[in-house]
Formats: sequence, C-alpha cells, structure tokens
Amino acid sequence: MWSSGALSTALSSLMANQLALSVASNNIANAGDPNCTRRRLVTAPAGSDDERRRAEPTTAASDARRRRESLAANDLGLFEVTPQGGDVKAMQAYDYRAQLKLKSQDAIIHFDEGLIGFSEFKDYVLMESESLAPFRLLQSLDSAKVGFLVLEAASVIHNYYELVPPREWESLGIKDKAKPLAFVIVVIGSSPQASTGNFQAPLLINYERMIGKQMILTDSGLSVRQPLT
Amino acid sequence: MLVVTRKKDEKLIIGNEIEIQVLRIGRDNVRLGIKAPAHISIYRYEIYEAIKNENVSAVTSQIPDKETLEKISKGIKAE
Repeated sequence: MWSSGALSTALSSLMANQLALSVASNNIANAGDPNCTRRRLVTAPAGSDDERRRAEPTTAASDARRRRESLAANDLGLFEVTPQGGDVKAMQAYDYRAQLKLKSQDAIIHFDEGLIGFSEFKDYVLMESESLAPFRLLQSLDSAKVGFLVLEAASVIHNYYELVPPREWESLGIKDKAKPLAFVIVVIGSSPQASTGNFQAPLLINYERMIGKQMILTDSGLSVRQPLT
Repeated sequence: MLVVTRKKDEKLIIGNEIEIQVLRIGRDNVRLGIKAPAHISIYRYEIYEAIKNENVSAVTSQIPDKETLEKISKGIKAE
C-alpha cells in the first residue's frame, strides 16, 4: 500500500511525532546496517522536510502547537524524568523497550535562545541510561525528532571548564566554579576515531536554575569536529 | 535590507540597546565596534553558520547501536 518511498518516509515521520520511543528503536534497528550509520532517518529539524509538510498540510505554527500538545498529552507515555536528588537532575532512564513517563516538570532544561539553528526548540530533557553511557540524549520536548547525543566535555578534555570564559558561566548565573557543567554535541561515526564532538560550541547548563545555553568559543582553537579519542 | 551609509566614527543604534560604530575603514575591510547587553550573543556569521550546520548534522545522525557506543565509550575512557 505504501509503495511510494516518499509516502512511507512521511508516514514514519508522522509516527515519530507521536512516539519518541519508536524513533529510538527505529534508529537502533537500522543501526546494524553498515550503510545506515549516518543516513538521514526520522530525525530531522522540523520545517525542513518537504515530505512531512506534504503529509501534514498545516501551517508551521499550528503544526508546532499540535506537536507540543500531542507531546504534552503523551508526556506520560514518553519519558521517565526522575530527579536524582543532589546536584544533577538528569533523566534516569532511556530504555527503548520500557514505557517511560514524564513525572516531573523539574527535569526540563530551558534554553532561552534554543540551540544554534534550532531557536524554536527551547525546552529539553537530558536522558541517560546505562546502555547509552557515557553519552546522554538531550531530547527536545517540542519535537520528538529533535534530540542530540551529548557528552560531558570534561570527560574528554579535562581542563575544558577553564577554556570557557568566566563571563559565559556568569551569563547563566553559574558562580560556583565547583559545579560547572558543559556538554558537547557528538556525532558518532563507525569507529571511535571517526566520532567527533563539537567542542567549539558547548552547551552550558545551570542545573540549579535548569537553564542552558549553547555558546561559541571563538578563540579557543577547538574544532566543531574534534575527535573523541 | 536596510542600507545606510556611515563615515568613520559614526554609529548606528538597533533597538534601544545595540550600538554599532565604524572604527576604521581599510581598503577591503571595515572595523566595527559593537556595544550590546551581555545576553545578546554576537558572532561572526560564518562561525555561526558552521555551528548551525554541525547541530543539524548531529540531529539528523542516528543513535548508534549498543556495540558501537560501547566501543567508542571504551576509547574515551582509555584516554
């Protein structure tokens, strides 16, 4: 019935809107295929996908609103957000098989400017699990399709926090240098050597106020595609 | 696009808070001074574009399978 490739892509996009978990499992299912490691799949920035737009003849604004409503309604079926206590309120579970639930608004990290290129997506949750460690998934609550695999920057570059100018930390209200927190967005390649992190544009997070910001380190000499190993 | 001619040392103001001043005019470049509130981010356009493209390619790449993740995280820990 879905003979057209475009149509079935559109269908999977639609389904992805409703089921973040199926996005994850689709990715996992396809990841075994060596041709699929960097293939554009169901994850795409909203509004850039013509096929999806054809399948959903709505305006971008109403589309975004509907997605948001549907996510809010489905929150309880999507994510497990359990503040762990202490300083870090990260997602406790990212289990592809289990039904996850958003239990608390406390876990939402607000990026006032969004991420660079994704200014309309402002609210995220940080999901972690043993199977994903040491990586975590920064998942947008506005679109199931917008999620970034991230890694704590200091786990690769040990003095990373010192490379971020103090005024950037202060702009997020982080004064206590004992608890800085920066993540880099990673792109996983076929091998450790082919996997890179964007160390030039880290995500700074203030876990006490649950706000974040992506900033650019202009004179750091760090690359947007710095190998992880 | 609004086009305005300014001489050296002359300024523009954008909104109530952002001031741009022409500091020096060279043969094929100009030096600008920008005064803006701390929460306004100012970047060279091409750097902003590079970061944006990297973000887009990160979001469209897949979550890898468990074995790949393990292999890579071992590599990181070995550092």
